[in-house]
Amino acid sequence: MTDVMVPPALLLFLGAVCLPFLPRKIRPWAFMFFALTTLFLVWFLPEGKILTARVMDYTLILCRTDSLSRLFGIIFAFIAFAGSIYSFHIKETAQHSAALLYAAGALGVTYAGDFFTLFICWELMAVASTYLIWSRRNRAARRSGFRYLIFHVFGGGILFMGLLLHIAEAKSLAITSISPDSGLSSWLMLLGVLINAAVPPLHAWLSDAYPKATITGAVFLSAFTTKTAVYVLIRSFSGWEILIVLGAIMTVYGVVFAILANDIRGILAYHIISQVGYMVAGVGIGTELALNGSSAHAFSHILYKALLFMGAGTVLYATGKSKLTELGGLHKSMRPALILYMIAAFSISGFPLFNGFISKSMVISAAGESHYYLGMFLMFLASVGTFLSVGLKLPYFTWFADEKKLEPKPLPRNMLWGMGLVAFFCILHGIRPTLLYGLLPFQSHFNPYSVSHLVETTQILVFTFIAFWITRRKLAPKAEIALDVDWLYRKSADALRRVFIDGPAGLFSITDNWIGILVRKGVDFAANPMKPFIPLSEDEDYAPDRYRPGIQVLLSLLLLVFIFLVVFGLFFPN
Amino acid sequence: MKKWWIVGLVALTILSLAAGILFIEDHGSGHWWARIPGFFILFAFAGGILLVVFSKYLGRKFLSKDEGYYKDD
Repeated sequence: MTDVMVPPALLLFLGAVCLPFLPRKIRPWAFMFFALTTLFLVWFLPEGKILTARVMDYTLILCRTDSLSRLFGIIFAFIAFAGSIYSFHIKETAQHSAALLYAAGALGVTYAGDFFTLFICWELMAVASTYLIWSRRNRAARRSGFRYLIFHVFGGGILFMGLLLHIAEAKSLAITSISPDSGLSSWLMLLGVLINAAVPPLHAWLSDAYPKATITGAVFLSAFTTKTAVYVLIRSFSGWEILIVLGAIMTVYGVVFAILANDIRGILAYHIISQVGYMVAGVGIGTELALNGSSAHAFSHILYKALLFMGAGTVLYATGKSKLTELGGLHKSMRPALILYMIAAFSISGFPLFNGFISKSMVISAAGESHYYLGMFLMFLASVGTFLSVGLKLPYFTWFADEKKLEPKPLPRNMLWGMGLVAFFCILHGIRPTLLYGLLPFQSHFNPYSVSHLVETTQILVFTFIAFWITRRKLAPKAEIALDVDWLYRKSADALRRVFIDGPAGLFSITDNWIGILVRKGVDFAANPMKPFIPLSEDEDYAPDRYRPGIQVLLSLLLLVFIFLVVFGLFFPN
Repeated sequence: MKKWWIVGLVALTILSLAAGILFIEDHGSGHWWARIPGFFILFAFAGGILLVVFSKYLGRKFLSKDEGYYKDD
């Protein structure tokens, strides 16, 4: 029994493949079953186990367990399970399978011991998650899904380039720490990972695609891609100073764009970028506290972000709308969803007794301890903006504010059950932080419930609220979008299409026509070669008798000239 | 805003200020800003207003466009 090693990813992959063969009614239950058993597997799999395979000259480490992979494995498996409950009502099996494949890829990356296995699972995630966007089945989702896929394949390509260079240098596939001095290979690999981590300016795929995905798909999307990237950063890129800069800027960048966004899932998408900024900065700081903070925050974030998307999803399901300008006055008709949403909103805003409070503070403290004061203040500023945007503006204009006389449809019970399950852990970890701290990669002596922390949090929350109340008219939603860096390739798409596609296509078409004309002329000539010589003749077809006299004259003339030349040459040789 | 909301917020503010002043010996970390009792009051208030004003300014000047800008739908 101790020697049997089942990679958790394999179990989920099996689930994805089996699902279409099961009776239709069983499938959503099977999804839940596979996710739950994977969670058990991940929980009970002991650390220090390893599963290798030899392929040609290389040793692949398909599965390797330690405290870091266990932490991420637990939360990934858990959110797959919670998501399976939330999406229980979905009838399309392909969506369930895609979600299982997506989760399988995430767990594959988490437990991979070599870069090649990591890469295969990385690409699997990109493909599976694209399906969750496309299954929305409208034009915007199709186009956005394409941009998403192309961007991710591009990122995967860059990662692969770096990987190949790395393997050539290191002669080994094993996942190790990578140093900034290793040259091009390490920077290419970092770039590939940063794309999946949605670090600006490489982030626009997230804010573009997530709001357009299916209601249930967005829950899975919010959990896996960015957090597997964070995992890889923690694993291989800790201590890279540039990550502190990028992370700190990210936290405020996301908040600024979230304030400008009108779609509620667009706001949440930008907040993913903001919160991942804390994790990226923590990796850059590199101390045990910082890495613990990044890991803890990743765990907490997956929980409350999924809950936020679940909440926004219920509003979209019930009203068919997701824009702040079209929503309002739902607090009586969608009370349970509001309460569960607010649990997540309090978590992300760092309210005491919720899980954001116990994890975000770790990263901020680590920044302070390592004297990165500017970064720390940017993170504080982002915290203000987060509460303002997700905790105040979004719920205010969605559930309160202007009455829009919306009549929400009743929600499938499973959606609320899924939300309840996640909300439970958001509160549980807030009340008993040691439950989460015990899972962290390093021993943690951090106490979030210190007087100074409670004092600063209280002041921040109270006065952010006051700032919101004063500016609430300025924050009134407008039916607008904010242009982000994807403007560069979205606006130019028309012009680029004209130059690179319509242009050559037109050229080919013209050439085609001309060749057709030439061929036709050739055929006509071959049918009657005498035609050009007798342009005024009415006859079209070649008839030997008609042209014989003419040809006789021509040939006789030629013969006479030839005889004359021969005679002339013979009698007058010089 | 309802009366009890205002009372609650004021109470919290006073509580945090009091705790900040009374328990100042607690942090051995010695960060200069933690010594100022109402620091985060100012930070959150000014920061919040600044964020909203700055974001809306960016929106008005360059970034905010009509919904149909990309002709995606």
